[in-house]
Order: sequence, then structure tokens, then C-alpha cells
Amino acid sequence: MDNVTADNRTGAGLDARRRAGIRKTVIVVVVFVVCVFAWTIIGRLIN
Amino acid sequence: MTATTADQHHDHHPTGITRWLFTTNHKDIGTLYLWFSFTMFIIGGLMAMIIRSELFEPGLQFVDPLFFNQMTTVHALVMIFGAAMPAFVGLANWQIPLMIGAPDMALPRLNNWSFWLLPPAATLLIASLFVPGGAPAGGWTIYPPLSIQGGMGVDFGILALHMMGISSIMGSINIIATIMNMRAPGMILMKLPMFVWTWLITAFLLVTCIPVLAGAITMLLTDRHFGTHFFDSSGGGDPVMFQHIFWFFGHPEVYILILPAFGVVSQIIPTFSRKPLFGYTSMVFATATIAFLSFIVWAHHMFTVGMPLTGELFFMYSTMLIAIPTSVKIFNWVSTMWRGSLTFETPMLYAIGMVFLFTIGGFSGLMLAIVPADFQYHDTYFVVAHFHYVIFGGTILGALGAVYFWLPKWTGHMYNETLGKWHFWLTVIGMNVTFFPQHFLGLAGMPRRIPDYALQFAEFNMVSSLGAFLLGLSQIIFLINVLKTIKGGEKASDRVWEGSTGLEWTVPSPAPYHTFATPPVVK
Repeated sequence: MDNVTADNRTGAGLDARRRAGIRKTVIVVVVFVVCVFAWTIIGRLIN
Repeated sequence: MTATTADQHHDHHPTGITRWLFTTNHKDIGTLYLWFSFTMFIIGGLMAMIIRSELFEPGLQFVDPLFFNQMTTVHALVMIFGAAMPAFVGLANWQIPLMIGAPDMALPRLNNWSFWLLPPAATLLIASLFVPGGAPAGGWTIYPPLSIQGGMGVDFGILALHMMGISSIMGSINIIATIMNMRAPGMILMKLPMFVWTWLITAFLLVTCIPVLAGAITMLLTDRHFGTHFFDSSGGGDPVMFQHIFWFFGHPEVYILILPAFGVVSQIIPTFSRKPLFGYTSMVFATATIAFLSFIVWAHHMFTVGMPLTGELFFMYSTMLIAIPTSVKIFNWVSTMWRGSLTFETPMLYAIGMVFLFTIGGFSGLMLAIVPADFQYHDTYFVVAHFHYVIFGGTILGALGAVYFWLPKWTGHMYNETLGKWHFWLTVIGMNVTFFPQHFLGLAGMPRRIPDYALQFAEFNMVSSLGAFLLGLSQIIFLINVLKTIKGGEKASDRVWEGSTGLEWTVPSPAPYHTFATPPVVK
């Protein structure tokens, strides 16, 4: 993370380790959110 | 904690309307959230004025009962999803990157989208007042069967909730990704400022409970329009199941509203006590414990539905357990102040006011947790008094304190201290005059969500309404003070407060458009 672009939109200034970390965090949280939403409804359907 | 000062280059920024529409800058988006929140606070406040005007004296004065019920419902939805939650997301946007030494949020474009979902959602919610049948009127809890039988306004409300929920989830993903991945070198988790810690935990609460609300209102929508019977007893569904699912979301939601306010108070009190926060580690663990417990207490909102005694006992004791980590926090705040070099600038007044008034709300919460007592208090004005002490006394006072605390850093000018103190005292007096008598009304048996009441409740209702008008009017002082500060005033120093510690105070005031392009090193 040596520098950032002027509008900081692309994340191009972030080093690869941080970009990979952000990607991993987003994937884990999104999968979790989808699972909770799905289980709320599926849990009612199978009861 | 020491750090290099921020890079002051790259201070150019776009201008005009496109700056705000397409911005990916965390400070711009924070500002948008805060103004949106204040607008919704005023709209929700005007609805409260209608409610209190109607209740000023017995009999029907200004509005018909259906419209009154729409007002109580939409007031709550606007205040919770439009004012309180966005206020703290705005504070998070402004402060988290500054406090952890990051150049911006981890996902700046998602950040823009999170915000710009809110104005259409709010428009949809308020527009429901003007469709045939009017807005949702069954309370913010949208319980079936009322919500299944309601008009088109309920669909508007459900869609608005979905949009606001998506916005919250995206905001939380961004906050988690930012805190986990964008911290300055040397800033380990146990060095995070408390505001950042409370937001990290709040973001986890949000991604866990908002999908549950989304699931519940999706099923409500299919019950209304697609012939399902999840909650419709005429087709074998179970309306009580909706209550369980709703409160599995609803109770953590209370902590979503209050935990960031705890974080704000944990920043303000050490600053104006000129001492480090007492018991930092215990504060972190108390916050996490409150968050965990919030998921195992939901049925205390529905003791009267007729659940087994074992269930009632479990939810009663688990609810009482929350008093322990909460007391740890209150003890730590008081201990931070103990023998500190205290000064009482406006943010400190708000922080102390918040601790005191939230504690009153906490005590009445303990009363409500007692099953046999709850059978008496349930659905009365005692509950209204309780949650307004928690949400106004805790969340809103915390948010107002945060604005006064960080406004000099945002604008580069000091706010008017005299106006700030007038705003504080009128708000606190107004709040107590409004909500304290409601305890007595509830204990005497006045039900909530009614436009008319028996003569015996007249005096306390009149006092409560007078307090509400004072509370509403006193917010004009806040608006004037903020606008004056943005326009000019005494120049704020970089550090702003004598007792300030933390990375946000190492950048110039006002904070440049781009900060920490070169990450600071935290020792």
C-alpha cells in the first residue's frame, strides 16, 4: 500500500496481499449472508 | 500510539452535483449519510409531533385512528432505518479509515452504491402514505395477520425495508473488509480504537440478522401475493413463527443501534477525562459478549404469546445476563472519569448524558425481562418509555455527541460552544419531560399505539407532549450550529481537543480530501 490513485476507485494502489485479503473477506461474508437468508426461508419450508 | 502525519497531497476533488452522485471518497459518502440521516430525523420527528399533538388531550383532535397508526409505524421505521442506522454508518465512513490509517474504505464503489440505495428506499417508505389504503399501520414489527391484510402501502414498506437492508449489508461488508485488511502497519486488533471495535462487532451483527429480516419479509410478501401460507393461520401457517423470526432480527437490531454509540462514548470520555480508557480489553470482550447474548434473548419481546414456562425462564435469565457486560462498560466509563482532569465541553456532556439516560433505559429493560412483571407491562407506554430511553437517550445522544466531537476535524472550525450547551440541555430536558411520564402511564395501564385514552391519563400525556415539542424545537439549534460551523468560525487545530489521542487527530483540520496515502506506522 505505497500509494493510492487520485479517486481511489480502482484499489490499484493497494498491494496484492491486501487485495487478496479483501476479496477473501467479501466472499466469506457474502456466502454467509446468502446462507442465512436461504436458511430462514428453507427452514420454514421443511417444517 | 504514534504515527507519521498524513500525506497532504491529492487534495483536489470533483465539484458540483457529480461529486456527490459518483463519489467514492469515504469522507464525501460519510457526509451524505449524515445529512440523509438528519433529514430523516426531522421527518420522523415531525411524525412524532403529529402523534404527540393528537395525544395532547383525550379525544380525537387532529387525525383519524388509521392515520395515527400509520404515523406510529412509519415514525419508527424512519427513525430506525432512516435516521439512527445511517447516522452511525456515516460516522463509520468518516472515521474508520481515519482511525485505522487507511486511505479509504476497502470497497469504495460499493460504498457509493450502499448510500444511494437509501434515498429511493426512504422515498418509497414515505410515498406509502399516499397510496390507496395508506402506509403500513400495524406497527414497525409488521406482524401478521395485520401486515398480510394491509393495503399496497405494506408492499411499499417491505420493498423499502429490503432496499435499506441491502444497503446495510453492503455497508457492513465494506466495514468488515476495511477493518480486517486496511489497518496501518502496527495496528493490531487489540490496538483498534473502541469506536472501530464496536463497529466491527456491529457489522457482524448486521450481516447475521439483516438476512433474517429479509427472509421474514420475503415470506410475508409471498403470503400476500403468491398464495403461500407461511404466517397465515387460515392456510395452516403460524403468525407466532413470524414473531420469532422478526425478533431474532429485532433484538440484535437494538444492539446494532447502541453498540456504535458505546464506541463513541468510549472515545469521548477518555478525551475529556485526559486519561486512557479504563479496562480497554474488558470493553472489547463486553461488547462481543453483548453481541453474542443479543442472539439468545429474542423471545423476551413475546412472553405473552403463551410459550412454555421453560422457554420463558430461559429468555428471562438470558436477558438479565446482558446486564453484566453492560455494567462492565458503564463501570469502565465511570472509572475512566474517576480522578480525571474533567472538562465539560458539549461532546462530554452528551457522553455523560448518554451513560446516565441509557442506564435508566437499561434498568427499565431489566424490569421488562421479569416474566410475571412483563405480563403487566407488555404493550403499554412503559415499553415506549423504555425503548426511547435506550434509543434516544443512548443512540441519538451518542450520535449528537459524535458530531460535536468530530465536527471541528471535518470542517476545520470550532462549533459554537454556547449553542452546543443550549442544544444539549434543551434536548436532555425535553427528552426526560417527554419520556419519563410515559413510565407512569404504562404502569397505570395505558396501552401503546392508541390515538385516544381514558381521562385518568390526561395530565401525564399533556406533560409528555409539551416535552416532545421542546425536544423537537431544540433540534433547530443543532442545525444552526452545524451550518454556522461549516460556514466559518474559530479555526480548529489539528489535535482539536487537549486530550485527543489517535490517528484521526494527526491529520490537518479540516481533514484533507485524501488522507493516509502513505500509511502511518503505529507503534
